[in-house]
Amino acid sequence: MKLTTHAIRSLILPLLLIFGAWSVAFYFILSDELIDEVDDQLEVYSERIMRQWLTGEVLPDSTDGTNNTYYIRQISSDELAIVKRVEYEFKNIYVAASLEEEPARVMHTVFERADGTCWRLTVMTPIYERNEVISTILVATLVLLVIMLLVVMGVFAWVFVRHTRPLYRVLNHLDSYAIGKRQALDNDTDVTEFQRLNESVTACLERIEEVYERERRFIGDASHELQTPLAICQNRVEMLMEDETLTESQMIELGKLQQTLSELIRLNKTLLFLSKIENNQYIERTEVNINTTLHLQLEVLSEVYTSKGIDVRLYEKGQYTLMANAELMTALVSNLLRNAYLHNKPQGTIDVYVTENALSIANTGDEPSLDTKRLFDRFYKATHGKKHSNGLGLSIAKAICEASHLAILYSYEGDKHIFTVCTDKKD
Amino acid sequence: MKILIIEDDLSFQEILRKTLEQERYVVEVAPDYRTGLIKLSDYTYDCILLDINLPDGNGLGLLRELKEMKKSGSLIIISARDTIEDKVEGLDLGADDYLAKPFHLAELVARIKSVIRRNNQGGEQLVSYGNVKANPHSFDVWVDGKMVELSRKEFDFLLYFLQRPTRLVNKSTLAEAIWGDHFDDVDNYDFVYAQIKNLRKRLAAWGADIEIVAVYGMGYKLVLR
Repeated sequence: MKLTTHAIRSLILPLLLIFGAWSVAFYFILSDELIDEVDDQLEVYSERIMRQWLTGEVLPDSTDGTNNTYYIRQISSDELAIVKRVEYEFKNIYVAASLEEEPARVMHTVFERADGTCWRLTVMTPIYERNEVISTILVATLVLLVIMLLVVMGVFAWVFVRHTRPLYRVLNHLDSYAIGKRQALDNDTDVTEFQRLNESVTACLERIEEVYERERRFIGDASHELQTPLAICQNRVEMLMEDETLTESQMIELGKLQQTLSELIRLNKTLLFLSKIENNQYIERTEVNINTTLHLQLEVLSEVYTSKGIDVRLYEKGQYTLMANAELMTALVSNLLRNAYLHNKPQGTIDVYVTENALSIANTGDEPSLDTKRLFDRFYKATHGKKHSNGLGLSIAKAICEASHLAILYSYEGDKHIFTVCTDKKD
Repeated sequence: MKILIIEDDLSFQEILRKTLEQERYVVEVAPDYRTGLIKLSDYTYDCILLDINLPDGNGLGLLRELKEMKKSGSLIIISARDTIEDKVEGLDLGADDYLAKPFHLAELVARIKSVIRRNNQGGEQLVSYGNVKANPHSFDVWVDGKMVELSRKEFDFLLYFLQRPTRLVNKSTLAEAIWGDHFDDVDNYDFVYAQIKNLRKRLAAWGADIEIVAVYGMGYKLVLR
């Protein structure tokens, strides 16, 4: 859920409660006030009736146009004990003018005549119109409540979105961040917290870059520094092997040592190569025809891997030509082809497809689908114990693709491992 | 034949010296730029092996000095750097060859022979052993003075052995030399064996007095019959 939605959601309930309570209070205060006014009028009216009745004046006719009605009756002393002196109540009364019952406010007043008898005056006034006013007020209050709620939400959302914009810019920056490709964070803001966030993010990325840079340099330097000692080891073994007095078993042991040493040397060379690609040391670009490269590599590799009896089928649907470093392209094609040979099963097949902007190499193999997340990692080996693989071939392919603005994809379809290199559409 | 080795790593220097002395060269060594410069200006060498990373200067500076002195003698750069740019720079300055560490001693010997031959014979660059002669540029081969026919791959093999007679050549090294780099994942060298077998038959058929022998299943050696 987005932060804005979240904030608005948690705002709705308190606002609804506050506005609701306020509306209810408003409604009751207002209707009380209206009834109070009616009561005041009734009081004045009843006082007038009492005065007129006591002084024997002519009492007002009930058809005087006010719709007010009244009656006076004597009450016994028993009754006097239970009724209050002044009492108000709501009651439906029959109004002669409209010939129907209508809601009314009724006031009872108990009073005493000079002769000591007790009387009770009841005055009534219809409050139909006032009820109408109250319900109109109620509706208006509710409408106002809804409108206010909406307006407050709208304003809040607008303010919120406006003020959190720098946050989203930072998030986008982090999303698009790729290690080794530093980009300045463009997020101008005068909010202190966001300024701090900017500084922290920049400092953090800076540290990551630094560590990455140091690690990259370390691998390059280490491989480079290993060259001379490795050369010495290899050459000393070679010198020793020239010794004619060695026995056969000694010779064979030395041969094994030499074999391991050359594996080490190749591994080191490969790491050095990888580090050079990642350092963008292959800058020279020419027009490279992948088809030609492919033919050359296939010729060499088919000879080397004759013993595996693999059937290679080449489908050329177009000429794939691109601007790239020729050495890297050769290494890329060679690595992918060797990967297809190496992880193939005996008597398997390799299908190579070339179109105008893509190269696909599909091979049969014993392994199930590979772990796409780790596939291109250094030293990743799907099956353990593959003796003659250093696990760097695909890392190299990936590094070359990245340096050459190409995309490399892996898929597993119909028991075949498929690697596709294509021109990256993003560039 | 006099060779000067300018290399600061003493262990490596010793290996180079011993190997070249076995090949009957007269070897002198210099561990740094200063000594190297003195030796270069005082004496003349048939071949100079030059390391680029020296403790007191860049080996390429020595190469420039040498070219200014206008002395004869070939120069091979031996360096831990192996980018094309480095090689091009060295060769542009007038080096005759560029060997990236680590390399095989047999490779070094073959390269030294090759550059010395180029310098001394003035273009005539035949490589020979026993009664077999080969021209690396025209791909022609003569046995006992008679020209023989062979395929390009067979020629590559033969030349590789002719340049390294009596030295043990590892199967993987051979594969790398003939088919190119990156042979880290080959588990079967039958394809090398097939070529060798073929070449052996041919040499015998031509009546050559040299042969390729297998050494304990790990490599091959070219020897006189």
